Amino acid sequence: MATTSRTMPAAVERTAPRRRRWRGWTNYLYIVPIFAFVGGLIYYGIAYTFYVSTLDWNGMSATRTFVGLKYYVDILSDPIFLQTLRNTAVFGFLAIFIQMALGLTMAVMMYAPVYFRSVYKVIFFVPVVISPAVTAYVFRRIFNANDGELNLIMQAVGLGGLQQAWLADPRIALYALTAINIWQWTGLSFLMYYAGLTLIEDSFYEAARIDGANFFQLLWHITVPLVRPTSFALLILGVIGALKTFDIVFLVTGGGPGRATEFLSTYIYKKAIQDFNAGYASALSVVMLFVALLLTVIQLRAYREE
Amino acid sequence: MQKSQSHKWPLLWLTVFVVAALLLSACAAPAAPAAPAAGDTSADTAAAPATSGDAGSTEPVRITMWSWNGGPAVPGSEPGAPPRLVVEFNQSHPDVQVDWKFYQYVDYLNVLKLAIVSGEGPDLFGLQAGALVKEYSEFTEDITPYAEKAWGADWQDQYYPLGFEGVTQGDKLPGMPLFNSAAGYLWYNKTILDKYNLQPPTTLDEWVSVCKTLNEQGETCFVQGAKDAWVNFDMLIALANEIAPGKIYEAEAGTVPWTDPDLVKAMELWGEMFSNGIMQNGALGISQYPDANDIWQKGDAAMILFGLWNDSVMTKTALQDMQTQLEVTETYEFLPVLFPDVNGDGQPGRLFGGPDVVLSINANSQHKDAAWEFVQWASSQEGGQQILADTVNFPSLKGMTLNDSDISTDAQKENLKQQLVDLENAAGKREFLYPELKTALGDALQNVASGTQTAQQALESVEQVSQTIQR
Repeated sequence: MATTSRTMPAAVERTAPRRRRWRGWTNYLYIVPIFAFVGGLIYYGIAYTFYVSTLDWNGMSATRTFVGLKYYVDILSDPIFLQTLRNTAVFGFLAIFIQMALGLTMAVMMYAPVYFRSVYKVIFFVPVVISPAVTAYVFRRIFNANDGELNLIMQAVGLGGLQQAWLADPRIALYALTAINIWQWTGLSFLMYYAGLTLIEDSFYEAARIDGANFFQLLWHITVPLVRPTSFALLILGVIGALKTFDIVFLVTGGGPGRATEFLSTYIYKKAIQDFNAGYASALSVVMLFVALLLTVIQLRAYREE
Repeated sequence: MQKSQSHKWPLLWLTVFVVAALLLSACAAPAAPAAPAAGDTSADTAAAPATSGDAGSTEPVRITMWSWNGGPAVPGSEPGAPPRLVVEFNQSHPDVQVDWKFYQYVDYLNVLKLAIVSGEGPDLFGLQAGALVKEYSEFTEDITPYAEKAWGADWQDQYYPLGFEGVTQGDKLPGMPLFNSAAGYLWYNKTILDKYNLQPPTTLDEWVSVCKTLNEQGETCFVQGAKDAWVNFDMLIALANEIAPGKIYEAEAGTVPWTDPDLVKAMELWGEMFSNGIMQNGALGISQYPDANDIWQKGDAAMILFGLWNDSVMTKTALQDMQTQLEVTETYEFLPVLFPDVNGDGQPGRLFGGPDVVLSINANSQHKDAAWEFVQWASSQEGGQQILADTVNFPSLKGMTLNDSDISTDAQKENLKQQLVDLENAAGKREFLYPELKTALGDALQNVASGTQTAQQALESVEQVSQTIQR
């Protein structure tokens, strides 16, 4: 019986190697759809964008002129491009760290016994789900130089001398945008930190308290180190978010006054849509991709080393 | 074991099919459509009847029309609803029906571009004279052969030349001016000025003086949404045409540098407006529409820079709308005056403008004749031009009389007659032709206004861009 079971019929013997060969192929075929999907939609898109970046083309016409890497050379000496990088860096640095600090503070406060905790949590998170179009409209009113609520409140409390043309002054407009972003996204930092806090064992705090640690020592030596993965996730999300920032800028200042609040994404949009310069806009997009990749690699490496 | 192998075959084939489909769809991704041959009037543009389908079919030809502006609205209609021209055309032309689609201007730029590139654009679409017409020209039908066939060789003589400013591309006419418009009027709220015994300014010094008086009374003298480049262009053109008429157009054409002393002077005056009390605080932070316009219509500012398109504020209908929509409690009298004299020659400024909307026929349309039928009707005295004149819009066709029955006051009715004279006397066009030049000039104006650049520095930047333009 055992012998019989090991003996294969002749037809089966002939087809067995072919099946084995197919079995190897089918393994690969199972992952082909995802490769085709990613390759067809993402990598093809990137490759096509790079191709367009080598053309002098308005994005519509049948007439396209090959210009090679001219636009990449132009970008290096483009003062507006450099301005967008500066704006993104200032905006990203301030927004990310202030949001993280406020989010953690709010999470720690909500983790303590507080009446109406659920209500506060909803209030903190509501700005995250409000449409940027609504946020932009509201803040354009609040920051209005003449009858905006912020200036009116300052006047009412005797700080009239500090009133500003918040969105019209190129020295201030970027910080006004940063404030709007912080208002909108701190709720996300709060929520992630709050989830992170639930993973910390109470015994750590109890042991530290027995050793005489005060609130700030508990925060600095236990909470902050143990929510480090959350902080790192927020950092990566923040950096990518800063690079992609478009809607609030476009709707509130349009990148102005002048180019005072221009971001890479708004600059790309203007080049492609308003200036009909698809080649230059594509070159900027490729550069933006490489900047995002570079920053992500640096952050990942720093995290792994840690 | 064998059974499970056989179950893999359908999965394998499904996988192959999905992969093939994905690859094919990827291969079919963006590609610019071939530009049509100039003057190509193939497809149904021959003398085919406008009705479609089988012989004897009564189904009308349906054509699509997109624009950010289709002329006067049907009274009481919702924003974005088919305008009067479309509604009345559809009623009077059962054989051709226009399906209207409205987009806000910013959205329109995106949507139209994608639609045209993918070859799925509307049969008819609105364009703005200048840069937009230039970029879309190769995707439009040349209107001239249609017009010559319909109206004869000298048909253009029947239309205001202003309507073709910034539209004609070499020998090609990519669209038909629907109605005309011009900027260069300083609109004022007479009710506010009367309250302080003030007259509208006729010189730049008077303008500063009037603003000083109003500002001292706690009123906002003038409002501008300087966040928008277009209204800043209007101000610069008005100033430049006062100092050296036409020179700004020469600079655009590249025959005069942007750093010409006259243009630098105009830019300096623009910058001074932000410190001499004319411009309101925070002008760079607001848009002309709706922000500045709302402020002005609500009576929170005495003056604004607009043009002929703003005439509706003189109508009783518009005043009623303002009272309900903006909760305006007073009945204001709004009037325009020509831009104040800047060069001291005793003469006020002149209007500058062109067509407000250029109506183009898509070169890839399958219904070019039907589309032309609408354009022809909209451009004719019996059709659209009369509707435009009845609603205080300036027709592109000469000889039309504006209907002033809805105008509120006698002074406004008199002013409306004067506007036709001012339009005939226009100094030039309003829309620049080169997108990159517009962007550079927009930046320069805001930088000078915010004090981050001097007029000279700003115009040097514009000149650098100007020199890179292939004209």
